[in-house]
Amino acid sequence: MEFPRHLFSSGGFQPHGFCYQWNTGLVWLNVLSDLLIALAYFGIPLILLRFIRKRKDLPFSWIFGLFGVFIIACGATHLMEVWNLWHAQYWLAGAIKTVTAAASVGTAALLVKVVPQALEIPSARQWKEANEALKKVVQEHESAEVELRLREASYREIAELLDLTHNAIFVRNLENEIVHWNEAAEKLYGWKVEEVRGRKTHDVLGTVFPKPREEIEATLFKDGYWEGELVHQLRRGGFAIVSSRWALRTDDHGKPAAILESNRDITHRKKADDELRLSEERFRLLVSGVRDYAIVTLDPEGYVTSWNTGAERIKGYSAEEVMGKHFSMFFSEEDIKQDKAGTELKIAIQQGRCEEEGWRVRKDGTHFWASVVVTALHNEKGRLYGFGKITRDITERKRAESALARKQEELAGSIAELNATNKELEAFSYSVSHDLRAPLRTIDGFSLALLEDYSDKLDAEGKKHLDRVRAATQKMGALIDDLLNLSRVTRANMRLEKVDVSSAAEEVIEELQKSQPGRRVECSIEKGLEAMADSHLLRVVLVNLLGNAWKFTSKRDSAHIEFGKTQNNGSSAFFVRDNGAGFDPAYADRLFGAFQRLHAMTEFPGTGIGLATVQRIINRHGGQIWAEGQAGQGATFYFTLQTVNP
Amino acid sequence: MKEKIILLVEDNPDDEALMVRALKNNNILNQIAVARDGVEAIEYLFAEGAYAGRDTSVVPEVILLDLKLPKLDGLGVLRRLRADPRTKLLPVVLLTSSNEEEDRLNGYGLGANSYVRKPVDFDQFREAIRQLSLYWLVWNETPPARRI
Repeated sequence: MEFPRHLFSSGGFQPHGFCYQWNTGLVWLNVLSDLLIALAYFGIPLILLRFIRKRKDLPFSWIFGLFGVFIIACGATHLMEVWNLWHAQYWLAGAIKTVTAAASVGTAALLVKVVPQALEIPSARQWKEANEALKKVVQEHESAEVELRLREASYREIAELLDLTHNAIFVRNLENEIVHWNEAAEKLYGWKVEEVRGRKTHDVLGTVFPKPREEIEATLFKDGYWEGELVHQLRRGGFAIVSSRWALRTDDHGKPAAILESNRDITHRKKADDELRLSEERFRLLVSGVRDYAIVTLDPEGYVTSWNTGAERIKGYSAEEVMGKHFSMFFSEEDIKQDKAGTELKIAIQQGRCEEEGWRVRKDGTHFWASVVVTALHNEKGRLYGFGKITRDITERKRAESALARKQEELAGSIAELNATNKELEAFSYSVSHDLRAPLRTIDGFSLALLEDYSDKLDAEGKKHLDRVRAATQKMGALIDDLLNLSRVTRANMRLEKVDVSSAAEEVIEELQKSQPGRRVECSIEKGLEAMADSHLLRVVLVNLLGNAWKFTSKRDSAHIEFGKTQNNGSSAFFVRDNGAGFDPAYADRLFGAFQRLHAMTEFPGTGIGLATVQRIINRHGGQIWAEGQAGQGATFYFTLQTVNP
Repeated sequence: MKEKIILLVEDNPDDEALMVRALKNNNILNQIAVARDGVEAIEYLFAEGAYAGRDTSVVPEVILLDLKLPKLDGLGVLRRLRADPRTKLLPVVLLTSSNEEEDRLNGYGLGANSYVRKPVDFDQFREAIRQLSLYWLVWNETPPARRI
């Protein structure tokens, strides 16, 4: 190739200085100018490079690069001009100029293309203006935000305030969807605000309206306000009665925006009101329904202010007849003269109540014995506002009491009489025991004296008569003794104690055996029988009953006497059974009468007082005695006593 | 040796006669002093009234005292005797028709030495008197005599 070979050769050309004829001034002028241009051209890209580096955000930065290449190329041509003054390497210069040309043309072409775009990039002033405008927008935005924050803060405050009240307060939109709901509402209804927000109020609360909801809402939209009582369902079950207030909230243009609802729980008050009303009603019914008591209220002066059924019944006046009349009209004329009614009120005021009994007058003029209580009624401030008066007709009781008092007096008289009689009886018994026996002793003693001292003057018949006199005397002595015993068991003091009845019976049998050692009687006595009794009197019973058994079996070859306890009609009874003479059951009721005898004296001796004495003793112990038997077939005597408590 | 006498306090002459007869039947020949009421018995024992000047060294071996007596009854007499140191220890047998518990209790309570009920049957009465006399006049030793 020829071109590269010639590139660094002078090719036979003269250096460019020759053109300036080596004129020193001209040569150096060109040299210096070209050097300065080259210097400047090499310096500019460096500055541009630095600029680009620092401003990476600039658009079209690659143009600066191109521009740098173009200027460096231009600088190189100028250096080549200096070089060519002394070295005729024009090929090289031409080549450099070609490169420069290419860079220049390229750059120019690109600029043509880029400039319209570059024109769209705002200018610094434009930037500034834009900036100002932007600042303004930002400022406006910020202030709006502050305002918003402030407003939010006050909302929060309001919300907190709402939470402080006890009223359940909520805000709902026009679709009745819950927007806000305070703590009291949460507490009352049991739903958290998060759970109900956006739900329909009346669905959540199942509201029961006092009248059609449409009417209520019409009122709200017309007046902006509604007030009434609602019933709300609670989440935990049950209902709350609330006093509800609704207020319509409008926006800046006066258009309805939301509904504020504030509900106060009045369930308890409502219930208390109902109960009070019920209790008052009950009380009214009670008072008016009472028939046995006249319940009347009076004003502070004593004029009738209320009158119940009982008052009507007892006093005979209807409510219309006495309302507003003075209550002294129920007193007798004499009592009215003495102002007894006024006295009653005075006492009631002084002592709180006045209680008395006395005669009162009915409408028909008849009198009744009244038990009256007048109570002074005071209000909370202690001021007398009237009297409550309760009257009972106790005429019957009064009569009964008088009758009872009379009876008691009579009874007291009878008791005194009885005591006197008892005293007399005692004196009588005493004189019987002492004075009636003394003559008997005389009769017997002198009969015997006659028999002993004058036996020679008496014939057999005379002696027999005297024997009869003596026998009669002794019989009378026995009668007197038995009668005295009977009276003694009636009067004797009783001391109940646990008595071993079996042992006592054994002792009595032993004594009987000793008194008649010759008799053979088979006795069986049940062991261990006990009873609550007076031991002395019980012994008298056993002596009589076992003695009778002993006596009435005297004509039996094999006599049996049994003592024991048996069940009879559900209760246990002691019994004494023998196989002796027995008795005719037809006369069983006469067995226990004094002086009653069912056997001839000659057959079985006795006074006929023994069983009467036994019956009296058993009766005094609260027990019973009865007998069973047949003539000739023995007898059984039963008696009951108090059993020993374990 | 002084004679052993018996004081019988008895208002009933029949009983007195029977008593004397019973004693006689039993060969009791002691002197029997008889007072017919309580007051007389006291006067006899303390040598007062009608008995003023009686030799008080003569003290009865035993007093047979009836309860029912005129003026002062048997228990009254007994009370007086027991209250006086001179007669405090004198044997007293209550001899009476009464069999009242009350009388027995009061009699012993006031210091009677014995209580005997007069039987209606004279045979029994006589036997009682025989045993009483034998006991009080023969077997019983009286307390040392005091001057009345």
